[in-house]
Amino acid sequence: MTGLPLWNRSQDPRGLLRYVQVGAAASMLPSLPARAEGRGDGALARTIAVFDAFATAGIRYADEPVGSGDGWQAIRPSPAVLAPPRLATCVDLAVAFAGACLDAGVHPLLILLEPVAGGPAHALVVAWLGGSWTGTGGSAAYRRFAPEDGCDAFAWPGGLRSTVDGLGAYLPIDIITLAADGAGGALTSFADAVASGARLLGSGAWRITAVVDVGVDYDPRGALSGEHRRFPESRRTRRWSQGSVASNAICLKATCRTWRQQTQQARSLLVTCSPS
Amino acid sequence: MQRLRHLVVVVPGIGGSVLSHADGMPAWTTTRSRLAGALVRPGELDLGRAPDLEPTGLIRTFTAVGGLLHLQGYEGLEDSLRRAFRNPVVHSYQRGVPIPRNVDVLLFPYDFRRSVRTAAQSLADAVSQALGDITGSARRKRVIVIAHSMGGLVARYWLGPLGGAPLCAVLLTLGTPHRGAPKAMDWLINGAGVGRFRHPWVTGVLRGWPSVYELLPQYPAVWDAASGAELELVDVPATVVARRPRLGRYQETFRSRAAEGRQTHEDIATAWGALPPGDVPVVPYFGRGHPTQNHLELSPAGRLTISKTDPDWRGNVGWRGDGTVPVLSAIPRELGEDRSLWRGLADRHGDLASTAAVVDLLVSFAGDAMPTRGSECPERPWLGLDIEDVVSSGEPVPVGVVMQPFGCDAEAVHATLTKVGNAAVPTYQEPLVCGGDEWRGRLPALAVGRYRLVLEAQRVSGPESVFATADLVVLDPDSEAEAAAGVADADVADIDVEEQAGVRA
Repeated sequence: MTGLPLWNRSQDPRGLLRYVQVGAAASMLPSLPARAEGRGDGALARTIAVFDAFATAGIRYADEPVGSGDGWQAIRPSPAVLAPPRLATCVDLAVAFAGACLDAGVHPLLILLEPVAGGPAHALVVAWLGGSWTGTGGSAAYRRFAPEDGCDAFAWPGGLRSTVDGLGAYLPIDIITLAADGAGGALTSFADAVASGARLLGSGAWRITAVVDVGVDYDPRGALSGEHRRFPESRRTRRWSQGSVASNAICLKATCRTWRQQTQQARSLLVTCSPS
Repeated sequence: MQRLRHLVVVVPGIGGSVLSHADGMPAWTTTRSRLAGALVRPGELDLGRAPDLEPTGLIRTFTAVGGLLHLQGYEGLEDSLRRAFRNPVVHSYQRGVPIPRNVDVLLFPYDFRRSVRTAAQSLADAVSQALGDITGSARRKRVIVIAHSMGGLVARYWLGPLGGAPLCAVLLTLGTPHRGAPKAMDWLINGAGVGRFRHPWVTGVLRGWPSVYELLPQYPAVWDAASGAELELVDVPATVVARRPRLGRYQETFRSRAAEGRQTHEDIATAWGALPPGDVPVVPYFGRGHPTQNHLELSPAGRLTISKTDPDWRGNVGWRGDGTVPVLSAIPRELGEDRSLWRGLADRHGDLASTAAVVDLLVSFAGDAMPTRGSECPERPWLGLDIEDVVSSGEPVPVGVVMQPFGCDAEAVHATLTKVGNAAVPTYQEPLVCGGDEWRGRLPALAVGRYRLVLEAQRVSGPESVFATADLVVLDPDSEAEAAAGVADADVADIDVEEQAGVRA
């Protein structure tokens, strides 16, 4: 389905970072705001613009089994999310949205959640509103905002907004709410996506299992790059992506490792690597 | 991603270097136990008692000590360099330890207690060693210096009086008090301390450091209320002592050391005046908009008070500073009229040590096409903060916010205070009250510890908020005073005990 090595949610939650692609959304969504420094729109306006660009892309929710009981999961590359048939799970969409945020100069974090009572996990994006994303490592101003993993609660210095206009340096976006369901259900508004994200993070029914600080930890040298393919290809003949030699090497290495892990998992994976 | 093409030398500010005894035991570093030791036994940093401390590295961890120094580690800058360039070889200079031949970034710790001149000589030695086998024209303009705070004076002395200019492509100074800072005068005359509470023992140690006298304002910073005119630095000791005899024992020390400090500045100015224009570009990065101690007033009774108003006999009134260094002091004399190189930022003094802007400029020097923008004013609105870094426990803490640039307005400003390490539960969360040009509030009396304050000004431009943060260290004045009671030092007996008593009451 994806052409990228599988991701294991339970063993390597922060490995999700490597699926974040810079440049994919910028090249496929003309309305995406360019990375702005200096004067120009602030972080909130740019986050809204990214959301609007995704909303107009017509992405649909991929109602499919996304992983095995062992946590293995295929992640669609961002170009595959943004090109026909434009299908995505919550993780696919959160990853693609995080990459688009970087394109727009917004500092994103990926949040992985699990229901306390058990059930399918979820992913959403939190955008930092205190400044711009200025490149790998994030801005110097962000260092004092970096969230803390407290003893009994996750702390968001400066606060987590519950509404778009509320107080707080962080804005939760339940990005999957913009995906139309299989029945062609209506897309949600940005305000609804924020309210949904705030409900999830503020609810005792969900717990945060991982926070991937994309703005700080994104590094193009470690990123897996994938591109959308229209025609099936076998693994052996799969073309390398258009990324750098280094990133392709990492991709190949990661893929080999994944194959070994797949073997060790006694072929229990429920997902395939064939392109969608 | 580019490789660095120059040797980047990082020169920290006062208090920014780890100092160690001959046996390797640090006398000054930022581990909790050593900081406590420095507070209780400040003699460890006394130049007379411990003259031979060896600089062994840059301070890497943020903390504050005794209300005297607000230390921002340099790991942020080092980390930015590592991320911005391809596999830079970073080396921390230590005398007697070989420098890798392929070094890209040289971290230069020095004994910050000694004169800038002494540190500059060490810097010259370090750079010479780092350039190693490189000879002749290949050495020319091979070095870029990034200097924070007092480190800028060290670099300027190396480049000017010590003749390092031919080696240097550009000097980037971050909040360097090129013309001194009134805060240094306050420390030396009134004593260093937390708010109104003063630390006699720390002040005594500070008065023995030649470097602190080189931080004194090199311009008429004192307004004499008796004569109705500004006072030159050289006239301050006699005038103060004439009105406040208790300071008499310190008068000669202050006079001679302040004169030596002034000579350091004069030497720098003379040497730089002789350099061809633009031979070594100096790019002064400075924080602006934060209320900064910038006005000293000497009362007829000899009391020296310091305030955060910009003196109206100096230019750029209202620019304020980075909370420690006023804007005009952060600009070298020769650039006083050349605004094209001024780089105004929203950062406070400590944060300037890791400002991203400096890395952008370095990237352009490495060959990337990244624009090296900058101006005398930050491009986006920001918040000027009026809050002490270190405060006493048991007392409300005033907080002030000034919207910047002037004329910018917000719908509301909220303050959220959390204890570091327990940010999940805010200690305080209230809106500030608008009064004229400032938003003001009072944090409740706080327990001893470290706190983080986040300020959010809502709807500053359209729907956007503007944020600022400040770290706050809360100390107990009673325990500080008990520690002070055991210290007897004739040289500090003139510190105002009534001010301490006022705080303790």
